[in-house]
Amino acid sequence: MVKAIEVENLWYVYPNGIVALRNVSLEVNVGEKVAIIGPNGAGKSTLIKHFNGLLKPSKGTVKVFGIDVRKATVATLARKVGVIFQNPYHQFFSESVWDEVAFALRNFGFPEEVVRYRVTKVLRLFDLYDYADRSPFALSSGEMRRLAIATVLAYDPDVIVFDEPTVGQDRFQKEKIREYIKLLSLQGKTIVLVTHDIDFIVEGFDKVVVMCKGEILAVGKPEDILYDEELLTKANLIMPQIPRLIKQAEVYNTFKRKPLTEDDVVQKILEILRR
Amino acid sequence: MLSLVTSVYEMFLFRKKRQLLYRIDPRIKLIHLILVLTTIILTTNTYSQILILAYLVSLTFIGADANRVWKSLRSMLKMLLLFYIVIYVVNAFPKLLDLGIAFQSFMAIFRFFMLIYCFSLFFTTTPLDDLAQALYKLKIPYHIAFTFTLSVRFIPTVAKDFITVYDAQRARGLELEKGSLLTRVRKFLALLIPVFVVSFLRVDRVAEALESRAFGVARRRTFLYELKIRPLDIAFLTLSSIPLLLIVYSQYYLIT
Repeated sequence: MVKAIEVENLWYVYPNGIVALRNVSLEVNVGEKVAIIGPNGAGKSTLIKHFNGLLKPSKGTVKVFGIDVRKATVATLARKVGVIFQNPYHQFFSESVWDEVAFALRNFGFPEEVVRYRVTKVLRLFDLYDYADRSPFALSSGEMRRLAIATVLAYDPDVIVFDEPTVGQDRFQKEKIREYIKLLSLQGKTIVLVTHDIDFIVEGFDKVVVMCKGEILAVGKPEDILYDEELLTKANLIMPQIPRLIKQAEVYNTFKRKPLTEDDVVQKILEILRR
Repeated sequence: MLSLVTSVYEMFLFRKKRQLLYRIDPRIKLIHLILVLTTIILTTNTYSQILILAYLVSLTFIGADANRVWKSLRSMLKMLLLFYIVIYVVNAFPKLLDLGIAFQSFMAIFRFFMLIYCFSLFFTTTPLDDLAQALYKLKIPYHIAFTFTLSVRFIPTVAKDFITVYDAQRARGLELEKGSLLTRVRKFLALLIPVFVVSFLRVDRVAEALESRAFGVARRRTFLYELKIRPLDIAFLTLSSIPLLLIVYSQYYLIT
């Protein structure tokens, strides 16, 4: 399998001496959807900042499509890895939604006709085309979140990293974000999502990485990780609702595959009722 | 640019330590700060300036966390170097090399550096809550003292926002170091606007939080831990005043 991101024995020490990452190793394959979970201060955000070269390793290596991040500029890596930051307010500055989306494209030197084509395409995709002339600050929080995603998708990076996308979002918005992730995945994008919202990752991820205190505690399939109570407790995380319910009801063995979502459970109940 | 922001962040972020200066009453430290600043202003010759620097360095090693003070100052050095070049060029123009002006410019920057050093020493060793209480006990109305300390408290937060915004824009391909001066200034707006917006939003939230907790309703203010001037504070002020007075004395009576 082609590796999108390879992290090997990565250590990162902040200038104030805090060791944020300790011997972290991780591989993300092309087209994979990976969720990185862990409590606050686990080192999740520090890790993803290495993927586009915002931080350079103190020790160890990080490679993005074979490029050593130490040897490449942020601008070079940003073409391959788009990071969607937690707070849209930290990036918006343009007078219009259109200019905000065009910002990165112009930075990367795309010709103006390509900029026009891509901005139109991405604004239509995210239902923001009607707001193209509005100020980004005049949008609702859900629209701002969509705009933040659109600003990154416009330059079509191969890997898209979401930093805590669900913080402060209601259920409807969370479902929207989930839909966008699905859509991006269908387009063949590699997705890395960082969160401490464990209920968000029960659906649609190929791999879950558990981090705590700068270390990776486990990497595995969602159904294995999210049923491991001991591991989750160690990482200060609470088991998601469905695994908790199934474990408490001790009906674990009635399922062929460990259920993670309401749909999995509903299917099983319907199956039993039909019998 | 980023290192300068980091410096500001370090200078105004208080972290509790055990050294002497951390235990001194903020009022005494405020008087001490005024004494050192006065000494810097009153003395003009090179020897006195070097003595003041020696005094500040000794005080740092005796009573503060030298590592933190250094962190807060080291990035300022780059900015001071830039100031030095500007001052020199403005004064020496049209000459290219003038040793006298080079030295004068250096001394001007050196004094400015020492002023920054004093403030760094003060803010890295003084909890802002204690500073607010100290100002209140010095008969400054509490809402003014609180507003002042709140502004200082937000300096590291704004610096942190700046770093986040810088990262977010670099992640979208912004390269500040490329382009002509005008282009760079225009690019800088991509950093300034989000920082301003985030700061204004925060100010709004803080104002609401203060109002909802009835800030300013009570005229008299009480404190959980009352500041008290102890013999250690008096001893510190007395002992620290001696070298400063000697430096001023030597400037006017010994060095001619």
